Amino acid sequence: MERFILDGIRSDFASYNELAFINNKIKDLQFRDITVELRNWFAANMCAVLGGILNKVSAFNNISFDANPDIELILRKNEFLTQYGYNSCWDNNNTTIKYLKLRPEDKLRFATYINDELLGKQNMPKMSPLLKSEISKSICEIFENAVLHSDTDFIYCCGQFFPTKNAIEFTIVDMGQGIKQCMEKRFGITINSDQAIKMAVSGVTTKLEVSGGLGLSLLKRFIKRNHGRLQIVSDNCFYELGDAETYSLLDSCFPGTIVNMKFRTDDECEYILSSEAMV
Amino acid sequence: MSEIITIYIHQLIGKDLCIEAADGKAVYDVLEKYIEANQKVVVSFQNITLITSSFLNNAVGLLLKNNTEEKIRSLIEFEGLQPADTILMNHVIENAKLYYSDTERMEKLAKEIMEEE
Repeated sequence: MERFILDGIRSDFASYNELAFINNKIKDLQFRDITVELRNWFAANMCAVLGGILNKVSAFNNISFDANPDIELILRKNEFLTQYGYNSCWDNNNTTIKYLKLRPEDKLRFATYINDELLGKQNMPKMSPLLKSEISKSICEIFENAVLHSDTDFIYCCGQFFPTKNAIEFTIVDMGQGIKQCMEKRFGITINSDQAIKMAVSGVTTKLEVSGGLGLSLLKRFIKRNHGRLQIVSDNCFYELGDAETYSLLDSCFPGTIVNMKFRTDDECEYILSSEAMV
Repeated sequence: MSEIITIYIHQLIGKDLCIEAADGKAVYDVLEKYIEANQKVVVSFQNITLITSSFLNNAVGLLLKNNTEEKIRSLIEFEGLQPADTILMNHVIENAKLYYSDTERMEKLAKEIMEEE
């Protein structure tokens, strides 16, 4: 019997560090009873990370959860726990953006999901149509990025509205090759994980023949204007763009890449400078 | 033929979401033929709900590999783009111009970042 305790998981350095640590402890376990205890707080969007971590081990182990009632309720509402035998629960507050495990070829399903969850959902926080559309587009760019570069079997995503904070957080995770490995393969170099993320957010593309590299750089630009926040975890680097742009090192490596986006929903800015619109 | 042909992206790719690189490539294959034939075309994005850079890199960015921006703009007129998508289109075109004018650019940019440390 193995028991892993996640106590106060939110979108911050300490939580990513904890999740990377647990991933390393759990990833090679087989034929065990594994209980994941969720205490105090678990930001629902982080289900994408937990889903990625548990995916492989859940095929060879008996996974159960010991969550406090509030956490259990929200993770039933966003349908994370329904993948582990729990009943789903009606989201009467309309604050969840459902947990989804997708194959890379499910791009249309993903886009439809984003449209339904963000653009078409009734009673969701008030946002201008342009803002909704830009948020959807940003999220689709990141999904496409994961599909193109990670060589992953699955992509995990989940979001959450935080009405009192006027924010949406959305997380996309792949457990494929990380940004560092991708850059190293493309350019035949050896680099640190922070250099790799710096390249990715600066518009360096690993694609050959076709131009690219705009996904993350456009997202970065939008997040800055929206006063949101962008976090990327890949290998052992944690990148955060908020009021400042920082790179920190985790104690252990996370395989693949986590991209977490926080958007402000009370932002009524028009994202168009007249000088830019010239076609 | 006197009338300019209008092609509808929605019809061409069969969906209202311009997100897939493969769909972008299908659009590219059509547009390249218009350019080869020196034939003007209107490309309508009417009823398209979402466009990503990955789609446009393949549909339009790739045209810059063998054609100048001037030639493309003289033959292809884009219509029905939302203002935010017009900006995205401009980014894609500028990015592709840089990419194809300097094929070593990505290597240089990667090297610059490595040397910053």
